[in-house]
Amino acid sequence: MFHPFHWQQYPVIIMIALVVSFLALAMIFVTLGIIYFHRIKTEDTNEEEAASELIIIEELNKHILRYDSLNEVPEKELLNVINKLTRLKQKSLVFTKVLTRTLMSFSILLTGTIQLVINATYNLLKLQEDTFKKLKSKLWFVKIEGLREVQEINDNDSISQVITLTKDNNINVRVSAYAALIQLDSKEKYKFLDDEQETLTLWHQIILTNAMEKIDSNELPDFKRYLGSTNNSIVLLCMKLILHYNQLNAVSSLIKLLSHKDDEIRCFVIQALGKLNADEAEQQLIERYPKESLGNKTQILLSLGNIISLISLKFLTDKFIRGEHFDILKSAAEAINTFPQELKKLVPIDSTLLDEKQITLIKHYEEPLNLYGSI
Amino acid sequence: MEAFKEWSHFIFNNAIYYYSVTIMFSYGLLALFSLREIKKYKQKDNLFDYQLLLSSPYLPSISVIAPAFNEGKVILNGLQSFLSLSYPKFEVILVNDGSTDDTLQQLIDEYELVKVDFAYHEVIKTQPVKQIFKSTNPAYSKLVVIDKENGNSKADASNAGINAAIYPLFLCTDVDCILHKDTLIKLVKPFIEEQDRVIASGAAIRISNSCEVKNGYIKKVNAPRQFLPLFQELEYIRAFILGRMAWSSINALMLVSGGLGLFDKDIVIKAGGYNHVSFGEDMELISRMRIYMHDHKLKYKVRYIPESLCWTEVPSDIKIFARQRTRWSKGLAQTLWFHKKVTFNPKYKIFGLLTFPYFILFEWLAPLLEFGGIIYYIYLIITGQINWEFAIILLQFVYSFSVLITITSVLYDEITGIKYSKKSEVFRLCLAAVAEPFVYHPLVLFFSLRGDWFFITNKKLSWGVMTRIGFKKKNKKL
Repeated sequence: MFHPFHWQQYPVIIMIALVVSFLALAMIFVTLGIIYFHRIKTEDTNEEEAASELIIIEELNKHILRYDSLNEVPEKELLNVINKLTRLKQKSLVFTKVLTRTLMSFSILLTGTIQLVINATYNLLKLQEDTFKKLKSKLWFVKIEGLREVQEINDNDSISQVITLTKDNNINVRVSAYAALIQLDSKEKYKFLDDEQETLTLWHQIILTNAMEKIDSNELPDFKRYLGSTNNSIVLLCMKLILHYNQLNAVSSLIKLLSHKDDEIRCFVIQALGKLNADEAEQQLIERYPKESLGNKTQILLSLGNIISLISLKFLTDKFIRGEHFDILKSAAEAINTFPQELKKLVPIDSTLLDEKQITLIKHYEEPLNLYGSI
Repeated sequence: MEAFKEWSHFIFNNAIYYYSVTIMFSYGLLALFSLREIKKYKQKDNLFDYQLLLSSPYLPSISVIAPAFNEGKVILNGLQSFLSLSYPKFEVILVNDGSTDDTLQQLIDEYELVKVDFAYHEVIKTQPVKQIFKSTNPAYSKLVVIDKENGNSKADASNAGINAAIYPLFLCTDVDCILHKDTLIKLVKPFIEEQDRVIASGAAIRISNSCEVKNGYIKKVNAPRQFLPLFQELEYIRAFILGRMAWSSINALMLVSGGLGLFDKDIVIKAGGYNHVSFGEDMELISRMRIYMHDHKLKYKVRYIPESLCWTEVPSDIKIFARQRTRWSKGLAQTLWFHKKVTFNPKYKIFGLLTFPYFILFEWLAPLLEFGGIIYYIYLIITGQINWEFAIILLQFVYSFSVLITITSVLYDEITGIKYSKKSEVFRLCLAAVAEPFVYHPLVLFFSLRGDWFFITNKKLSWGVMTRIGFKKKNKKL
């Protein structure tokens, strides 16, 4: 049945098939080996990390964290513990990784003098040098790792390197550098709000707002200054910050933004004005209503629900009675529901003018069990 | 006769060979793309501070939608896992699709539900909604239960959920799914870190058949022990970790599973919602969303992440398995037929020029050609024309490559994170990969052909009922 094995006489396609199948077979065994060794390595690393963490926490608790400042730690005791941790650090990369991670998490969780002790220990262990190397790395994710360390340890010695990284080509590196700089003693903290040209994603904005939350709010600038930026994501970020820090002096600048050409920006401005209860914006919001898209119209109605006034209520009631689109009716009903009963009595809704849909909407917002998720 | 012989020789000796080589080459490429994407994801993920995200007020809120039809055995476990998700703001919408068992009564009793006046607006047409319930227990204020008339499809029930959803994103899942508590935060990540608009994201789904489940949580992940679930686990790993990650890396993904997908509600509604006629409503929806984005010249992305966030019970009974696979196959054929205008249409960019042709040539056509090849082999054997030496080499060629691809996906799965506590479970999967082409693949092939046959002959196919074993019963066994 079988011909003698003369592979030289095989057609090319059969020869290729033969070679590929042998290669595939060899690669199957290699892959199985990798799976096995990956398992072993992961298990070993996990064990080493757990053991390292135990040692580090024990040493820190026993010899350092019970003192209010490093000066209080007896010199010999301090020397012993630093030497021990340095020795272990030199022996293993895993230990260094865990040591950095543990000190960073302590620095985040602890405050006051204890935080200063942690930061000083970080320097004594020369982990700062590792961080500096990371900042100089060519790999973007290593740079970000370094920037995180600088940010959490408040390493002011690295400011110049961090400033260099604010000009990095990678947006993620730049944003991490901005976040680090916000927490360091730098005069260029908010320069990025003027300079950044690329779109900041929502994730970037969250990183930056988080960094700002960690500093004294008196140090924060007036974010209205940046509302004229040509970078829409910077405008959005600043509006979020204005809202977060309740910077009421920004209301007039926000009102000017109501004529911004970008639909998303206008939507956010409308929302912000409502959340800031900016009653001076009431008239402009009402005037703006006919010119806006459906989404922005619903947002105007919801914002007027925040600016509780008789004019708003009359406007909302009118839209609720005359509105045709469900989203308009829904937003108007939701907004009307936020008004106090006494005010609502002044603008009664004639139920004979309402259809079934409108009646259901009123009942919907009067039902306390439906309140989850509404404004 | 001679002409037919020559023609068939040419087709099966040359064309099919090159076709197979192209499939293998594409699998090889997918493996490389997937590895690159997994590496990129891991690098980014290591730097991602999920705690920071969870405390942020700026995250988009999410509606979790889960349709249920006669799911009395699993409903409470599934719902518990949805309500326990870790995310700043979300609601859970459970759609009782006219169940004839005690699904609704169990919900009413367990969650202290009462009927409420709810402004339900039918943006997408569905079967009538009878009543809407909310819980009187403040601990379950996130829960909305919709009771509607049966629509004979998951699509109809999902659409009712979309109509009731109040948040801009929605997660579509099934009540037999056990979700990881970080599902929402991980799936929302692509939506907030991409500069282009992300319209859908998905993650890997795994098999829960042999897992230990307690109070809606996966207590211990075990590799399936039964025949069919074991091979389905392997198939899922290959599809999710290798295939979809690769397609995602080039923004050419055509499918985000119905069991776990986060969607942009606005785009879903504009695209018309789920198609209740389709048997592959998840794939069909993504296709329609992509077409909508291209038609309106909007930049977008569909993303996948290499994380296992959802565990679902798969059929362990051959009859239910057959029905599921036939349905999937018919669903694929339907989607390709519904949107045939996309094929090789430059307007749809990579979706029209690569994804669609690939799915037609290598997903839909492959079972038909494979079947043709088997028939041809039989014909050659009967007529004594077969060259056994070449036949075995070719068989070994295809076999070794397919085993390599499957084992590579097991490796990728291990790289993304260790799921099984024992090494032996991973090697059981590898062993299954060796047996798969002989014992499991023929079944899949047969049911794919059956699905195509149902599509071509327009034969009626019912959704059927997935008989659940449920977790309580299984826990007792364990």
